[in-house]
Amino acid sequence: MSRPTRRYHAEKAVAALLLLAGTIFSFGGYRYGLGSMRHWGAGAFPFVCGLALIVLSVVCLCSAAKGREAGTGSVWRGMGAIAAGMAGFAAIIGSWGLLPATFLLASLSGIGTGKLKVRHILALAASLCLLMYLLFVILLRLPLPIFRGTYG
Amino acid sequence: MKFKHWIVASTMSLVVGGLTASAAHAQHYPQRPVTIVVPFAPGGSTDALARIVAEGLSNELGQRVVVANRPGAGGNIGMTAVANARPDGYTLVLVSSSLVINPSLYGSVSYDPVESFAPISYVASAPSIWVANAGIGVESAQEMLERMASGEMPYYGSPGIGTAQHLAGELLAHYADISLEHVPYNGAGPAVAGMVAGDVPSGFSSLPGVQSQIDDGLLTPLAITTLQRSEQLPEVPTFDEIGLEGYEVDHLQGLLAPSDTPEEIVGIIHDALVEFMNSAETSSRIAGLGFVPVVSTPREFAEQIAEQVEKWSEIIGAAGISVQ
Amino acid sequence: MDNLLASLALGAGTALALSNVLYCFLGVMAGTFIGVLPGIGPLAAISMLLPITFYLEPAAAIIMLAGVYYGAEYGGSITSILLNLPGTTSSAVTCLDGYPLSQQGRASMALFMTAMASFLGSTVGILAMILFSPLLARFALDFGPWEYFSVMLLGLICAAVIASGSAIKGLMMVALGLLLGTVGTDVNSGTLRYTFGMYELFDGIDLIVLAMGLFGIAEVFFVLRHPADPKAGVARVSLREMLPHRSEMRRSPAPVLRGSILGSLVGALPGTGQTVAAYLSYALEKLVSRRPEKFGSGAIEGIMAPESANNAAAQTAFIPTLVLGIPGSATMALILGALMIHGISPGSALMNENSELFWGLIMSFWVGNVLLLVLNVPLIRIWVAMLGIRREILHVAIVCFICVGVYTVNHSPLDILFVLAFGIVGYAFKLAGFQPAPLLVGFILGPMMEEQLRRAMLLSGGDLGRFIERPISATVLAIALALTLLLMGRQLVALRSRKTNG
Repeated sequence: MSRPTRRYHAEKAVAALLLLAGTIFSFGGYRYGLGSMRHWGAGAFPFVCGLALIVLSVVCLCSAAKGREAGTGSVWRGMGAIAAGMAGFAAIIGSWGLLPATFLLASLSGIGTGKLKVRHILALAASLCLLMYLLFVILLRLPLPIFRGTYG
Repeated sequence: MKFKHWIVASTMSLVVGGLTASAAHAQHYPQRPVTIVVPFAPGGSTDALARIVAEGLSNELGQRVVVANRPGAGGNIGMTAVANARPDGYTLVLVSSSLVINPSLYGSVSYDPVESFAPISYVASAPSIWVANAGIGVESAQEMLERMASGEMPYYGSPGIGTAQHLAGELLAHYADISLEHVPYNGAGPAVAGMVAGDVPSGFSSLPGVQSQIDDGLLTPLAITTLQRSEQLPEVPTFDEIGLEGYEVDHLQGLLAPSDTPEEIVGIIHDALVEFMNSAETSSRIAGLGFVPVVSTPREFAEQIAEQVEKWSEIIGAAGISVQ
Repeated sequence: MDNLLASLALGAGTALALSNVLYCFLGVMAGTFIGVLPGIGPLAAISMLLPITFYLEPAAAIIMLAGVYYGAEYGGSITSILLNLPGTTSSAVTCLDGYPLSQQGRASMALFMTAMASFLGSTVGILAMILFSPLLARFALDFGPWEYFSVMLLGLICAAVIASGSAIKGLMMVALGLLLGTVGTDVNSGTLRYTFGMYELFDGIDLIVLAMGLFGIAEVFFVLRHPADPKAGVARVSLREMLPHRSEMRRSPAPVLRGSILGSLVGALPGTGQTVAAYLSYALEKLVSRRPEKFGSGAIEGIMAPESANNAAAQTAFIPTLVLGIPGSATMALILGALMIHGISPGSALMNENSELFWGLIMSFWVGNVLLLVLNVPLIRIWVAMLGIRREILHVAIVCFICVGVYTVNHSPLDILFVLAFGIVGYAFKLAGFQPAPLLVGFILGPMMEEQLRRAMLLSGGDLGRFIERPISATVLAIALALTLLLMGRQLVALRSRKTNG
């Protein structure tokens, strides 16, 4: 299946995003102060680069060509699951430790791929936990809590 | 009536139980690995010092002592983390002088250098040294001061804004009443590189950072920032001696625990620290990093901290430096 | 010359002592391993190994730590080629042509050739150290902020060269990288820029976080869209498969030579580093090549040059450290610290009084590189076998390794969220045809360039003329100007031919 305009949309979106970024940085740069030739202000460099980015983004927006881009499937589900996994990892690793966080991350990511059976996902998550433990805690002796505050 | 007795009895037993539990806890301390937090990225001298200390404490306490780096915000992230950690003696922090400098430098920080911590001991002190590029032909501090006062070479390099070396330079400007232009670098290595290359005519650095360059004749030592002369460079005068009386900048490194850590545990760690710091091997390793090994009692250390916070607050205020 | 041979013999004696060889072996193995793992890098590894070295002889200690340092350059390219995920930032450039090769089923060839390139690059770097240390040290001292700025400017222009495809998009990525690099505390004034009150951003966006998000997570997301490509996973691993085609063999020596020399020069400058060397050499190859359009889809020059460059730079980085006592990077500072903990001072004291250690160290570099080659070539089969693992499993594993690896650096959960954010953004970029590599160049070079520029302006009192008065700076700027004109010229020609054709 060929979707003729997906890349075009993406290009426009990204260019618009970068235009916005350039504006924010330039604005901020101006506020931090441009300084003098001898004492360049903290904002001088970002101001100039921001302007450059604005100009380039405008050019890009105007010249974005409609292209053909082949791609299948919706990625939202996969991305969402992986994103949830990573957010979950970040949320619980501090308090629950490495192993629960890794298990959560691996399980959600596995679900996100959409192609693995549940029992395979659980097995994969468990073995990754073991691998992380062996590698980072045992081999590298890193101070990571593995479960609720206990260390290797 | 009975109810009241019951309340009192149970409360008392809880209190007594709690006391004995913490005492018992202290008796068995440490029961699991201890973490020393270093509020800087690995590779710096405070980090290397922490690893030496961790190694030594491991041997003395019989438990693994590991170093965890929590860098960021000039040390504030790591120090805040430990200030808020559980006061059970299993999380400690090795700080540099940023503990006493940052509160004034940053305007506001999330910890109180005096209230948030239970000091254990001073571990090392470090002088800074004022050096000049050998190529500019200056032989002494007085000569350099004259040249600077005449506006000829007002630049001095430092490893960064808010570092002890930067503040040493500001203090110099303050005491000598001359106006200087600070050239900040991104770390000690680049700062020394700049001085050796002659991009800046002079600068401040920690002692070991420039020892070999002085020996090789690339840099000329001008003055030491502590009140005593350095053992490694006994011919170099102190700032105090050359006419700036009372000038002192000492980069302190010390070990602290979160406040409310039981005194017995602080005592155990302190004694272990003193024990291993007394060995000649440890001294030479620490000296290799350019520090002067020091120990002190928790109380002495606490007093030092309070003093230095005061002092830096004045200097930073007067010089008008801030990070915001 | 006699003196030199005598020194080398002395060094060989130390380097080949059995215990030193053992520690060298341990160091390079650990280094390769660390280079492969995302997140944790040679700096963290060397810090952790530091206390262990207290109980060793100084020679063994430094030999081992140095082994970790240059060993990591070998490991970093492995994941770049196989997974489009740079293990070390200096291997980010290797992704550009290494990954396409891997997707064409030629992963083992790519891995073999990068191992060779790394070895040859290191050898040239070591030769440079042996023959030219004092000269290169003086050369490094001639570089002031004006020169550094000019080199970085040249590097930025090269970034535009690196991007395949639309030049505008490449430049936009560079500009964004430059801007992202300004986030954090400003070195020159202490002002906090674009931190929005977040403590964690005081020191800027972490390079590892950016790289893992843009390259790693974005890639995982991107591949979710596309069904498995049957050719990519299957890679036969006989010895024949590891060898390149004859035409590729012919096109290999020149890039290696150019890359090694460039890397040796750049590495000797404290304040640039392997990553800059790798980028510059890739750009150089693309510029002098007769078929620049092949770059980005598996050109052999695209992996040989940067890999030789970054290994050569890793070796010559020891020159300012050992000869002048000036460490060029945080990792070098740590190795210097290790030296001093063992009571050894760098500089002429090291070369004259401790010459056994000095030359022993240099010879051990060569021993280490031989060991690395001997170890890594047989391992290729194992690495490539990894590609045979079912895609989905591999991707879950990658996500886990990235998250855990990044967490070990700062113990900050916010970092993980940043990685995710960059991953989503990176995915959007890929979808829209923007490449991440120029962004990384801008991000790395930007802050360095700004710092040097402002320092130069401060020291010259606001006088721009100084840039042209100083010979090295003037030369580099002239090259940069010529390059810009050349690139603009090429664009005009391309535009004109497009007009006449369609």
